[in-house]
Amino acid sequence: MIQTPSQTTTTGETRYDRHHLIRWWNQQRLTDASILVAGAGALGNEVLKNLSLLGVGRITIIDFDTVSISNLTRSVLFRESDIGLPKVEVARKRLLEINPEISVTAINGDLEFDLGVGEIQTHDLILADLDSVNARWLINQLAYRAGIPWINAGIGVSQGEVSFFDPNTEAACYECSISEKMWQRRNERYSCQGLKRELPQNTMPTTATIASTIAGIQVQQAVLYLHNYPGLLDSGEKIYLELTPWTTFKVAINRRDDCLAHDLTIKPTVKIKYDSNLTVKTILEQIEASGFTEVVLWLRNELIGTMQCLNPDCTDEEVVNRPITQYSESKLVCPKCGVERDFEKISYLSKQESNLDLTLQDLKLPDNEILHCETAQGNIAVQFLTIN
Amino acid sequence: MSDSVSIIARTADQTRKAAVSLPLQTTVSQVLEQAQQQWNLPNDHDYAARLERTNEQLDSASDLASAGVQNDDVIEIFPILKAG
Repeated sequence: MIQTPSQTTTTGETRYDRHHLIRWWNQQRLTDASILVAGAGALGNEVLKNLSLLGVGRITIIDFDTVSISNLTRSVLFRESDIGLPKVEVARKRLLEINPEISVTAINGDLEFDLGVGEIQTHDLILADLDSVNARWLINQLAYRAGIPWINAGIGVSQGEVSFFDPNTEAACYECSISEKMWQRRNERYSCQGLKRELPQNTMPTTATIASTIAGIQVQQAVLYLHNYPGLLDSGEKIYLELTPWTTFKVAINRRDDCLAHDLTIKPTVKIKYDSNLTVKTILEQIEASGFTEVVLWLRNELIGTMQCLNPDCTDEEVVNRPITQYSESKLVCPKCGVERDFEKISYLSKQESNLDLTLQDLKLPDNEILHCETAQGNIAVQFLTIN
Repeated sequence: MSDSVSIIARTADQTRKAAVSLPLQTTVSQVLEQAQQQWNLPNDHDYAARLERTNEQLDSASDLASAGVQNDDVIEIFPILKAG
């Protein structure tokens, strides 16, 4: 029988009765909460299961992957019949089976390109269950732009870590903890121009036991944060846990004074109605109409505009309009003559540039994106909203 | 004043341990690299260092002097866990 919040069984028992016995618990706070979960792998499955059992009212899941057979040893929400289906869609279906009282939004996409900063701001918290330093760096950037706290988790064979970062504090962020070696390893996956290199993904050994243990800690931190109940992790802190041999400690990450992520948070000054056919020219005019001059609108993801062959005898020219990090380095070779091509990089939009006819669709801007903008009157932020 | 510092470096699980004397200008990342090489730690992992006395994760770019490392300090080396 499906219960709604107002329903009770014949014995008078309700879904959250055991929670109500906890002295500091506020079920309504969880019902009202909105959490974004980035990644629906082993950790993400356990986190999502916990959030739905706890009755977190609104959950958004983002992941671009599909279910494969090797996921089935660590993913409580997936079945053999789900192989080949988008992870987020399967997870959404199972979460609603666990708890039909919650709302779940599934985004089958890439967090780098398919999630606007304004959309992130509609959440209370981000839980990141990702599988690379690069993806964690990206979510840190998004969280600090949006001003939304996030909880990171990572696992190994029998070890795990959970860390908490709140842009509304002066504590360290994830980027503060990225070493030179970690940057080097991250940068190996991109050319010096920023194009994606087709390298095989590192497959890391993990098990269901460590995934469920670490996800439990990560979600507990979320519950405590939502209740404003301190005691597990303060911002900039990390728990390290090893099951074999038993080892655990908490560390405070040192904030780096030169870390740029802390300066990203900015509240939108100008709001523009999102229309995929809106041109750069119109956007700049709308910003100017709000009283700003000498407008330079910075893109969050640099784009490749037009590719041009470097062979003077070849006339090949291709309009690409795709984020640089999404475009493969192997495509630099001219398909006509085999010589290397060069490309126009679009980093910002201004009236002095030649890309005034590009549309929001060309720029691959997701709905509810917020972009930083320099003007003669100072730095502002511009939000692109479907509904003003 | 001495320009070196005597510390104990060990892995977080305490399966590897060494008492070493290092110049104060040694960076935390150099300590991590040395430990990784000497102890044959998996090289597909990144590592961080924890100063046990203060419970701080040390900035890998800092040298031992600016990181506040003192004689007889224990530095624990632990992996950055990336799988999800």
